[in-house]
Amino acid sequence: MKSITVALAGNPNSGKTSVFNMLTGARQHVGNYPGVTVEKKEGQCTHRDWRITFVDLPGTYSLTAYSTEELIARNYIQEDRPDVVVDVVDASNLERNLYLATQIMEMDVPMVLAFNMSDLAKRRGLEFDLAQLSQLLEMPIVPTVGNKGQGRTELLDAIVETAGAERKERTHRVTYGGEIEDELLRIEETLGKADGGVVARYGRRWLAIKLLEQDEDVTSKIRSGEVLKTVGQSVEHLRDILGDEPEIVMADRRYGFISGACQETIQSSVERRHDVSDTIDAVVTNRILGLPIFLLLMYVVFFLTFKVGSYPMEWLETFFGMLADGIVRHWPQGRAEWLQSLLVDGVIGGVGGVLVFLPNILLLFMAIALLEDSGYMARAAFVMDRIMHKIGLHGKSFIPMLIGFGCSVPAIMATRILENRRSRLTTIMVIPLMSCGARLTIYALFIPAFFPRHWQGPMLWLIYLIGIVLGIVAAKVLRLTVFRGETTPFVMELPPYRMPTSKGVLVHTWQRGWLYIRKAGTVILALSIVLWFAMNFPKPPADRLSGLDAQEARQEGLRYSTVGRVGLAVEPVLQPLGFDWKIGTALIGSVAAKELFVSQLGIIYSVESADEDSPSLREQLRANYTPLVGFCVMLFCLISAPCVATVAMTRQETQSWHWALFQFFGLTALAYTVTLVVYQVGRFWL
Amino acid sequence: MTFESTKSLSASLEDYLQAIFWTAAAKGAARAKDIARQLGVKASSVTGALQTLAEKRFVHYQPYEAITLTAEGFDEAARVAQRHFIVREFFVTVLGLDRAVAEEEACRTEHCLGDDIAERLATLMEFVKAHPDMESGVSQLLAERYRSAEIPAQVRRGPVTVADLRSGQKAVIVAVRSGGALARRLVDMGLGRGALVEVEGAAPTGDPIRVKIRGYQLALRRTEAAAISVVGK
Repeated sequence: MKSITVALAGNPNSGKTSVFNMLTGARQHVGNYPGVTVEKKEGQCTHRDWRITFVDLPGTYSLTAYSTEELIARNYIQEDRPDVVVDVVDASNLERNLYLATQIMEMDVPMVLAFNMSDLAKRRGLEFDLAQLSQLLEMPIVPTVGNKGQGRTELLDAIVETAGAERKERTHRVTYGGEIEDELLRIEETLGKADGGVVARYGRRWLAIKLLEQDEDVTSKIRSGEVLKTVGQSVEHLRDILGDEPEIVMADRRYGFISGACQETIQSSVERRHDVSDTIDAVVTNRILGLPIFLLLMYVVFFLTFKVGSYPMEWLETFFGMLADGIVRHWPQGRAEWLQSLLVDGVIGGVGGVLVFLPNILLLFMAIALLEDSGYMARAAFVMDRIMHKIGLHGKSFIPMLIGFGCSVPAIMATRILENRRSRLTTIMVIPLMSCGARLTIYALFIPAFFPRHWQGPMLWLIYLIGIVLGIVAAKVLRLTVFRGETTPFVMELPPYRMPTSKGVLVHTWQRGWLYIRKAGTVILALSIVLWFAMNFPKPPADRLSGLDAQEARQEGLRYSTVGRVGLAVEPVLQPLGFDWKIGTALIGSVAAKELFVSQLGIIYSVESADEDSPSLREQLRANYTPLVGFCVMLFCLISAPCVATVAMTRQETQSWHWALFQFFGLTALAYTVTLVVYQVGRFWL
Repeated sequence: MTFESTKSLSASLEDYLQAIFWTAAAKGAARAKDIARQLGVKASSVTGALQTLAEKRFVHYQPYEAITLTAEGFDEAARVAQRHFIVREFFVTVLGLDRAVAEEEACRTEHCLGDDIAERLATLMEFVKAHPDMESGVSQLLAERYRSAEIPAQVRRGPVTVADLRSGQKAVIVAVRSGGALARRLVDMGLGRGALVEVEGAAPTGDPIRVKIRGYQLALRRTEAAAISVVGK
């Protein structure tokens, strides 16, 4: 059994993921590239007597040092030296897809070209002379249809053959024209004395090309001053005679090489100017219909997530309820009661409380996968870009923000689609302001408690609206201060519309949903246990509880616990907001999960089985607080400290505690300020 | 911008250059029979013209092989195309001619017109566009007298950029005028010199726009599109 490593490269939208899934099946491992949060997927398969490990490189259009993804893909090929690189190209959009191939060719690694979506290309009337193209590019070409599993064996055959074949010098390569080739030669000749190691690793010509392109990453690796001086002169000289940056002219020449190759090997039998995709676009991005269609689709996504999702959510709630009841009923009387409470209140309450959202999350991810796989997502970003750009974000930022109305955890995960780190961090910071599903339980308790029926709807809208407006303002402010800098150019491919396959959508949904489940099973489990201890220990001494009934004992227990003490301690700080220690204690509990706020208040007000529909708790609230305080509580819960799961996710996605804490304390400070102003001004007026 | 007066090519050679320019932009390279078909001439006359153009170092030409423009050839062709564009848009905007008629007239006029005249026409056209009163006055006068009611389309003096193109209009990219990462990104996506670009439409808010380039669809903001200089068709 021989083992080889194969890297999968390709443009976004080339169907690379479906080829990867086709090759590796379910045996995948998802992780991150070291130091960055670019997803690294690995999978394995055996073919004949070869054991093949596949590494899925980030989807890129080019291999410059300007974007993290491109740099990662390039460094992986150069430094980890996979045995074969498979470049997945979209055969129906060959020219641009081959642009990446010309750059991988320059790195001098054994290559195989997977001619993906070859069925679509055929239907578009394209005919290829694959034998000749393969000869020109000097690599095997295998037609595949990834989402239908066609071409798997042939591709694997080509891979092992290429891995086992003897290396040959390339005879065809991109030539950059007389002037540039002269300078490349000059640079190649000066290379070598001081930078022997670098030359051996990256190859002379590739280094010369990158240096002439003034690639920052490669330039920083060169120590010899003489080389850098030669490069400087060459760049000056070429700028002079070409009237443009060498980098730009060289990119043009690569396209020239591709045009030449395509000219000889592609026949287009039908001249079709406008296809179905263009017709759909004429409607979907229409001046008048574009926005209504977008809003309608977003409404459908929400309806699917929250309305349809509420049924399985109820089943799960019932299930966890029955599980808790079962444990209580079968627990041996009087033995280790703290463990019973830990299991029931801590673990099932905490993890179960998060897992009941799983149906919503899965449906939301499914809706997103459908929008993405069909090609609409890119249009949505296109339609929204003007508005998002105004607040310093990118058209694509609206997607994570939209998910934020469901749950911040997957929303923060979804920011991975943003290329620019500043845009991405800004989006992550403001996501908690999009009022999530868990906070809805708080509003559902408070609004009917304090406001007459006809005000209840508008009140809910107002709360959501405040979150959105604050999010917009915060994003703008962050982009002008902490995350100042150029906005990312909006140069985005609009892939042709495709019918999503059920398999593709399910795989997408599951991969993201699994991350959510894993989160609930690890971080949230651990924190739920910690919080349970803080709410139950230390126990009040027995004499304090004498003469109290069970309800009062519970109340006293909470008051005496760590959380209760902290609640009491922060009371003076919360007083200017109109909050007492009871609200303070509940707020601390809500850091674990926002919906815990309701059950905490229930315990404090000694209400049996508190939930948002509990009438007695509402009466208690009405008796103890003014509508203004009620509103301020909602306001504070909306803005303040995101829950621990969100903090953990921000930490993971930004790779730094710094940003996670900045978000936590920044939002809490914002909540405090806003609530303070509202309460003080409101008290004066009302 | 000033145009150099290099009127070294005959009208028919300029037509050949134009034919190669547009065919190469659409297909990557031109073949003799494409050119013959487009200009409605015999293949044998094409060979002769191509040889002359090759001697003048405007095209790379070997019998039976694809024809491409040299850098000088591209610049010269872009200049003629630019002149054609200005003249035609002048006929439409200022003189209120029908677009098809203007196109035909421009084909004849472009060869005998000096670059300085084209430049002046462009200036006049820009002036008329900048003064709506004058524009409507002129078009009203001409419309009344000649019964051509076409409302002038939006036109600007060259060099035009992708941001200036109307929906449905095609153009060839002449240069990407921007620095660093953006320019590289645009060229990486295929928006390089010599490529044919077509504006397909805009977002409901007017920005960004959709273009077709190298057979696929790309969205870009108007500020980015304004960095791409083109010659309109």
